[in-house]
Amino acid sequence: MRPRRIIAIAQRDLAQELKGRRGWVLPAIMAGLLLPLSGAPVPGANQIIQNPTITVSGDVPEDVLAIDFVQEVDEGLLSFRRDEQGTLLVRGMPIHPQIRAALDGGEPAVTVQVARRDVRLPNRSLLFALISASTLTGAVSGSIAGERTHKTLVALLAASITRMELICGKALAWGGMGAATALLAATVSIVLGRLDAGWWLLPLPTVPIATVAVGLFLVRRASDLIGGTTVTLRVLPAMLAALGLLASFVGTTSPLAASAIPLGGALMTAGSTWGGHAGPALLSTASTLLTTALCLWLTARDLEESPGTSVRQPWAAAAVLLGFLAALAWWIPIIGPILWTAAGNPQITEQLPARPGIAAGVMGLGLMSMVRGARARDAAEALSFRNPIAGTWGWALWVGVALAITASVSGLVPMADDPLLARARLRMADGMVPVWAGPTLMLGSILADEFLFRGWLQKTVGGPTATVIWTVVKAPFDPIRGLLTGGMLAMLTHRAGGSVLPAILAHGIWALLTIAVPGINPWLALIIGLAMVAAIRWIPPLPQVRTVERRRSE
Amino acid sequence: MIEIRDLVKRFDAPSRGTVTAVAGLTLRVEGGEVYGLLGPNGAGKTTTLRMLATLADPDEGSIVVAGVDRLKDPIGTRERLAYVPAEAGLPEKLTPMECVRLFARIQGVSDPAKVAGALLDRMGCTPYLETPCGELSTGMKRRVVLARALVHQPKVLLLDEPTDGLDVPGRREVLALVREQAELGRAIILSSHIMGEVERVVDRIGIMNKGQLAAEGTLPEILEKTNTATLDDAFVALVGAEVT
Amino acid sequence: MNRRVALAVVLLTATLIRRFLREGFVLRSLVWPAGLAAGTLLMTLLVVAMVKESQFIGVPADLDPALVERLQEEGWTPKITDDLEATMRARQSWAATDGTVMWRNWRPESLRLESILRERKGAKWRPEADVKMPTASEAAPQGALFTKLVAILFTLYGVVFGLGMVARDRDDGSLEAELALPLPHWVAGATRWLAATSVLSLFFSFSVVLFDAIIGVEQGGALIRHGIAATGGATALGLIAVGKAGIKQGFSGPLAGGLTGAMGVMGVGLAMPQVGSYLPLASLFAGGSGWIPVAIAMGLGVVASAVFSFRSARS
Repeated sequence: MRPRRIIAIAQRDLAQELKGRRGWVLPAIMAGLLLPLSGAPVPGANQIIQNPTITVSGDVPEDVLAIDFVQEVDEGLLSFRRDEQGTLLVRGMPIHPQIRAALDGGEPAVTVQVARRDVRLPNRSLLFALISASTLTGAVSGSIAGERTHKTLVALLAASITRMELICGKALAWGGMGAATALLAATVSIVLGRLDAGWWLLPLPTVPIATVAVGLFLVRRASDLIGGTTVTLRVLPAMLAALGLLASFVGTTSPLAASAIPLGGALMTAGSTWGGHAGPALLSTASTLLTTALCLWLTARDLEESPGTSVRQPWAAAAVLLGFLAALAWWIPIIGPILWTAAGNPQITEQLPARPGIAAGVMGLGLMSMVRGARARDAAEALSFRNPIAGTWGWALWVGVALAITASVSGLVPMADDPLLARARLRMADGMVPVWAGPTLMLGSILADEFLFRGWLQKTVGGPTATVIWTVVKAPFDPIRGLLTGGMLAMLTHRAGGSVLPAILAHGIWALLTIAVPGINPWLALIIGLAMVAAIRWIPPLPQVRTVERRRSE
Repeated sequence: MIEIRDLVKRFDAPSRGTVTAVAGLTLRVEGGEVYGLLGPNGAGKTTTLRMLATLADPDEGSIVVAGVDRLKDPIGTRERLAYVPAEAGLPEKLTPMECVRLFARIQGVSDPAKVAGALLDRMGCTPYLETPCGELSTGMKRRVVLARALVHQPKVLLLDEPTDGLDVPGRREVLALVREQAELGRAIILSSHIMGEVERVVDRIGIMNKGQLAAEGTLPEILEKTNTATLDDAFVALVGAEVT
Repeated sequence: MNRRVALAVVLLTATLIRRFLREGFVLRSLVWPAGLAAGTLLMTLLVVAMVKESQFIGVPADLDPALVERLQEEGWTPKITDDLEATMRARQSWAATDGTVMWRNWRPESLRLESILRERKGAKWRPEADVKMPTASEAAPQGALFTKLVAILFTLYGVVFGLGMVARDRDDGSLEAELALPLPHWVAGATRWLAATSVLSLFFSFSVVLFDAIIGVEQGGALIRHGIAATGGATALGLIAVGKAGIKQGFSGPLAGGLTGAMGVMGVGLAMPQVGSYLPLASLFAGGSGWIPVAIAMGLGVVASAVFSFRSARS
């Protein structure tokens, strides 16, 4: 590693961003945010939380009203009333110690002590580190993604400089800038007497340095400036917050263990959270710098001029996540009661309507289809949105009727004994054809289902697998019904030459008839359903269909 | 077809004060003519082309493009011309077909897909029709950019370094295309540093220096005027060996 | 606006949206807030369900048996310990008492314990401990707050999109190609505003509806409108802030300015809700129906397009 080259890269990056009329903006913003923070006198934590206003209402004793932070209103945080025996009852929490003392009148019947772990709050120097790190988001992204877009990265990679030196230079530029501003703010604070110098100064600059290193690692494969910046924007603040909270939590048990948490420990020790001792400061500095070195090494290892097709496509993960979220939204009204009951509050999802779940499911699947279409060269072809083979429209009508009839086959599978499962099953049955959700949501649900299961999934994994997935997602407690309905729609799509349009029509007719068709014998419904599947599969096409198929094969 | 009179353009450069990039330029290009605009770096060639293409406003002077006053009707001017800048870029995530078809649709071309396909085929881009532009070579990108420029059959073509980044066969093909377009009656201004290709394809030459025309005419006229044997020598004689 | 311009606006906007959705990093960023937040909510539920705080109450060995029985009736398990306070701090019990002194944490059930102790002592007052779990409508404000945090992220995306679209396309030359089309220059700015606002609004709306399904969100419809206004306003801010910047001329300065400006306006909503309820970005935290901020955001889109057009002409 050659320091001169590293410094040269750093100088180049800084000059590029900070030279010229617009170059002052970033430093000005950093100064504008940090200087008031470093200089302003702020009340200590004790002063802030000591005596907030507490509203009271009802039959409030005079002794309580005499307390200066108590305010009587119509509906207060604490309400007072007397029971039949004349005992004063206080509803609400928390009951402030001064209010307790006033109520006890000097003779407490029960002494209440709050025994909780010390949660110590960091001081303002934590914000120096945080703000310095956060304002460099764009610079970090531009450092690699911007260079790729501007085609200047290739010149650097072809120069007589190692990748590690290149990355270290960039980290020096922006991490150095962040570290310098954080230390400058700290100095101002110390000079003005707001803070005392101490060990906290050691980990303070490591936070922006490590944040820049992580940021470079995140964007090492980004070739688009917007994509790169959104990555740093969404990950870095969340990462800092999560690691900080984790360190704070662990620190209630062991500050030393907490300071070993990279970044989080450094944030907390920079804020003198645990008394400003040498041990946590040194440990957090070491762990954060080690993490920095690791990120820089990984970035240098993976850096290429053009990430190209060798890189795992992140869009696939995004699309899968969208689908998962859509399925989650679909399932939440069903499994929600189970989860919330286990967490100790069953009534929340009792009262949550199922409509938002259906809507979120529709939106999620709709967005997934939109993404699928946008990425394809021919969106309509990707979603199988094309004219079907002639003759299938008639089949669509019959299938729609058969689908409405198959609702009765639910009776063939016994209802679950457990009330939660039984409720889940009923909700799923309601959700399968959500005619109650309104016409827009109903139509959206039909389109989303067909584009996903028949338009895309069937083309990708085949009819039988798509039908099984349909059953698992839409009707796990009614497998016969799921397989029948999915099978009929899959067969119809297959007969239509892959077009989803007849399936959409059939699904729509199914929805319209759901209310109108009364329940019939479940065995009869099963026979009708199986017969329909067989008919679509084995009855030869009509003459004009043969002609169309022959033309297609020519 | 292109008429420029006393064109002036000034810029504020923070380190140098006011710079006059174009200082009273006058030239005329007829339909069917290829006009080679040459000059050293900083002579004002790109600024001139950008003003013609309505991407920059002149401070003084007039421009008429295919009978349309550029200052009074910039949109009408853009309907009649196509501008291919030196750093012409393509959106990375779109394919050549999508790029060219989009411009065809916006320009109001009938049957945009067919026209786009034919043009891309003419430019030798058929194997790459559905490849994202970010994955194309520099030369292929340039061909796509040219196809995009020609999609609406413009009356005027402004080409800034059109062969930049192309290999020898590619350059020959582009120059042949330029000639072909001229024969269709288009007025073409071609800016280039490569004297050899300028000599082969242009009808008249204008050599700019410090924002003005140092010389103008056919190649023989310029050689005679400068008493030199090659365009290279003539160029150096006119603008000197200074590097701006 | 004539037919050609209208068609161009639609085509260019659709193309820009397509470019967004083809960029994997962008797409992942759009889905990430909903995924992370929903995942966090569910993981929290799972963890709470699996790791329930102990039902133990620390008591001394010589505690009144009647009191012990009373505690057991409430479903709590008395745990004999020598040091009541230490047991509490070590989280081996959620409360501790010797009948006269009680150690508690912040659980609502501690009021129930205190009420029992005071009743036994014949105290002149006691807390009325009706430990009620929040209903869906009571939890809905928390759901709304959670969603607003996600809205902040989408708003910041708006600034990035507005800035980045222009800076990126300016530097790779594709913006110039668009400006050379026979269209008014404001079209380039307007289509970018429309594309970014549409995509961000769609994914934000999905996030709101998803949270509504999981936890309930207070006034979800209004929140969606505030989110649309915020993303529209932020994108406009980005388009205005980019100026003539490109990657060549420094992107990080205008970006930092745009992000700080956006956060500043949101702060107005917190500090002055009466004013903030009308302003895009600020209205996220100020409340209101959201219609006026949406209208103002659209106006800001027009302003941003005009500024963009003005700057393009002056280049």
